[in-house]
Amino acid sequence: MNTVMISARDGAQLACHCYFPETGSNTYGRLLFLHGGSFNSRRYANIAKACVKTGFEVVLCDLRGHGSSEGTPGTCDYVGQLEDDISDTISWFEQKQPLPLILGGHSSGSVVCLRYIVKYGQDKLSGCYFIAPAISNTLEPLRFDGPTSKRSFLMNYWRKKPSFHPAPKPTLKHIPKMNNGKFLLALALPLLRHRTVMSFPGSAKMAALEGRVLNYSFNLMASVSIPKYSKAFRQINVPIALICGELDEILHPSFLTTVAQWHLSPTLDKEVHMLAKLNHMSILSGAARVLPQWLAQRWTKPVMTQAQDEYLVGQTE
Amino acid sequence: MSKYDDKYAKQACVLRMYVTAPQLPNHLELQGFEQEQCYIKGYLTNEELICEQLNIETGNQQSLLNAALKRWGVEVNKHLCGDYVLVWLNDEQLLVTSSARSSFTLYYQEHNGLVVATELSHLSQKRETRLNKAQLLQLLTLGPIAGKHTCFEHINQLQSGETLLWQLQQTLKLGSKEAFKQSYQAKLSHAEQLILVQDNNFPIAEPITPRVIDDIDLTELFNQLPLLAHRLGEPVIDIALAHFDSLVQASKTETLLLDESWLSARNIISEQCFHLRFSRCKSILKRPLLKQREQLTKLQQQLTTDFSAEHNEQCSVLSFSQWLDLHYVIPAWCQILQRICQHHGKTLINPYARPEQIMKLVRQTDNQPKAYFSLQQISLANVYDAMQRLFHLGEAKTLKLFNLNPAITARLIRQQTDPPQKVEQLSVILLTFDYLTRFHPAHLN
Repeated sequence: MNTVMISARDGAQLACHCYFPETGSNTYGRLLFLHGGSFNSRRYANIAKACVKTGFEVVLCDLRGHGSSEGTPGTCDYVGQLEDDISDTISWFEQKQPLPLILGGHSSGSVVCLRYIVKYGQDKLSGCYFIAPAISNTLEPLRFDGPTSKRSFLMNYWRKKPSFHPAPKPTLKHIPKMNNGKFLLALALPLLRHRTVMSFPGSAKMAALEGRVLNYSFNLMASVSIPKYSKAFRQINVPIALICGELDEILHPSFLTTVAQWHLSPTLDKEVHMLAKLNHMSILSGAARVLPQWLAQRWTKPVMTQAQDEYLVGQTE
Repeated sequence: MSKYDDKYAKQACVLRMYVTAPQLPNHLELQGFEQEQCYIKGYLTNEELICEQLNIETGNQQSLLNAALKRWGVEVNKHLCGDYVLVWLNDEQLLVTSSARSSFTLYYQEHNGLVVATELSHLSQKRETRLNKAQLLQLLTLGPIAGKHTCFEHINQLQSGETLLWQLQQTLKLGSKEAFKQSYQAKLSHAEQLILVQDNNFPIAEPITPRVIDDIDLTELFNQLPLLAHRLGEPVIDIALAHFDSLVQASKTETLLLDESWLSARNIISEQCFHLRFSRCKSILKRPLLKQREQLTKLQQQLTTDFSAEHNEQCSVLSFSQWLDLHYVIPAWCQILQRICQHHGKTLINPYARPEQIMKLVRQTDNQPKAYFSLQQISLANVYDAMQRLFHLGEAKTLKLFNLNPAITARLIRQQTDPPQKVEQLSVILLTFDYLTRFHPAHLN
């Protein structure tokens, strides 16, 4: 594994951890991976190692302010800076050696990918993948109702929410908490948009050891959110894989299937993998099995057999 | 092996029959189609009798059809009973005809050259298409009614018992837009249609699972709607069709026998509702659709006049809604069910075409089909919530035609108990229409 530092357009140094296939073997493409919110690339080494074996160069990117990248932890200069960073990273690697590029990420990293696609298009992409994309701006993708669900439903639909399913207590421990007062204040006053509005669960000590960022400002939170996800998904015209665990604490188990059926083109090369017994974080081990197989089927010859504990929900027509 | 197996294997060859006229006859670019040959999609029920009449050996359907066409010409559908559409092409003519109560469909477009296809999606997705707003309004207010027009301008449907003949204009240059000219058009009367289906020699088929809505996965059903709309090439008019689609897909046999419960799922137009339905969904219609009201009124008047004429002529005991159900609603519904089966490479046998059986169904107009969805269904796969979401996320073309603001749609949903399936149908049509505007290859203009 090699770490390269790439200069973003504002001069900040962004860390990219590169994994290369063995010398002499074929390289079929380059996989760019964006980590989930609060974490950094360290946690995703298993996925990188699995994909490298299939013949792909893997680049694990640390978002600015996370891991080894420069930037103020927990914030960014403006909403949309993260996709600009991704664009700079892609250009840097493309200049170095052009390879078919497959872009994706886990949780909010997936959302950043989606935002990149909306802003920069897919000309430079050969494929994309989304592992448990944390789309939480709207109500319908969520597995559980939050404290403000009833109000949001009433505001959107002008009628009472007919059902309410709050998250069980053990699940609440893993869900980030939003300070609505601070959020509204930041929305009204741009000067306050660098202040924390959302906190991830976890002890500060452990977070320091793991290099996690537990507090997100308005700017950063908005940069990892996408309000009109359906419009973003419908733009996709490259092969796409959607991977999620059945026990995901954030996403409804039917969400990705619904996205594939309703929001992706019927003629698109798309696959949905719902993996049994996996949640928002343990999905990473499942993705390490599924993702290399998906890559191999499209860009090389098949190299692995289908895992036993997964089932294919949807596939290319 | 039944005697029909071989016959269906032949039909599969012409399942995706696609005739483009401008290339004819010098550049014959037809898929599975040869000149001087007769193609049938469907089945005959009086094959042996016809063989006797024409004095030919049984078993060779092509000879039978050629001989029948030679003898009866454009009136061939008065003699051949069954459920079929028939196409015949030679150097000078293209003839298309259908059985008295055909559930098999044939679409044609005369605009910019003649094109005939067995699937609406073949025409709507491959050629420049414009939405027929009047037909969309009719679909929203009355549901599917068997007729000539489709949801797309210039794309027409061969009606049950109709015969069309196009004559090649030899004087005109081949490939020109006027290369074919319609020279004959005739349609069997309603009375003739009912008489001509009196035959019981149906192909052997396995009954399809009856419609039971208590134990189904609604999320799965909801997610099936887009693909069904894409396959059909038009908006889905009822969630029951997605349910039917899933059962057809799951069935292992190629020939399926229709169960009565699927015909009971159709949208029955009661007499009281006939004139009130428009006002029910008026609130969500925008000007381009409201402008089409005149055409809808014309259709309603035409139907009422036809009913009065037939009523006096035959001293029929049918009420208007029963008459409408018999001649327009049930045939349209059967055609959609057949189309769904055809998409899965299967054939649907309808044993309810005979008068005594169809009349029994028609008289059940009090049994309105139940709604599938409840408001308690998860928001992600709830047709009511999804319909309201279109206000925030719908395509510009959808929002140009429909006023989906939350206040109006919430009021519609609150009124959904009367009748329960009406708002559900409306939501399903709107959602699938919006889906088609997004992903329709020709982009609905």
